[in-house]
Amino acid sequence: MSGGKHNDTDGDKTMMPLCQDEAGPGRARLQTSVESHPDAVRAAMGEVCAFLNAAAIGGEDAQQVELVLAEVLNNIVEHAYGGDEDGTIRMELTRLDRSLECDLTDAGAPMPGGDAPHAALARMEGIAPADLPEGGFGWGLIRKLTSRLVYTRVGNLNHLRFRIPLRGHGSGTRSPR
Amino acid sequence: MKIDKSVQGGVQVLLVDEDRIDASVAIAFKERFRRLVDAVPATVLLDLARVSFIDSSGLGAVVAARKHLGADRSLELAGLQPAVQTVMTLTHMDKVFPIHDSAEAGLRRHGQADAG
Repeated sequence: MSGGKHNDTDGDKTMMPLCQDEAGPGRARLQTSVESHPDAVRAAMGEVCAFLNAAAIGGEDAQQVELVLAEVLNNIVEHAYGGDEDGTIRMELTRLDRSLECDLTDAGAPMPGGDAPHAALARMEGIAPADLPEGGFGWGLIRKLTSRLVYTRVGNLNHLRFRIPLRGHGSGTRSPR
Repeated sequence: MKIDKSVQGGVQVLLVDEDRIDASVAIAFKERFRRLVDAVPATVLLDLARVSFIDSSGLGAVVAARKHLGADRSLELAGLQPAVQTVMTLTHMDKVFPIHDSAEAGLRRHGQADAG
């Protein structure tokens, strides 16, 4: 789909897949392909972290981006591709002034009900240990941390687009334990 | 999935020696926890000081570990890095698990409780 200088299959995480957007100076973009299995998602998260570094997105902003993208990619792997490891996910991240625009495309099964789940993160007080949920948090987290989330299906492709706000926390403002 | 087990101050401490508890390793975590944890001591402290990232799959695995212990035992968490604390807070799981700044702090609380 995309050409340019970016090498999708490069396993060396220091080769930052960062290209300047022709649309204007200071905009940064990552375009990459992710194979539909958890180890490939992990590797893609490494690319994302390198991109965030280069785009001077750090601290809590970077944490939110990492969490949202991991959740979205996991969903596509588990549900759109249903465990089929031969699928491909195209991911494009574009740094805007105050947010990161994210665009994901896959050729997996359509979203049930034709829309992304509108899940909320339920309160947990007073729940007996045996009744605690072990799943269902993913879409609640995605919805909470993103804006302008739109799912569309065109032909046999799923498109998911959303923005993650960037509040300018800077890089490495928290010291690790 | 590397988890180191020790008993300190009447508490079973399970130190997760991994950077991430995510979809890649969630099942391995559940299995390792189940195989590793002993019937006693009853209180289990999961030391997550080395874990910098957890996603909903990882959280589910931690919840599964809690359920494995049963209602009469407790699973406490320690050493949450910021990204991990954020997931616990957003999902309200910080109301489910006692959370300590560190394993040492958690053990001190238990020492005080025993002495009280």
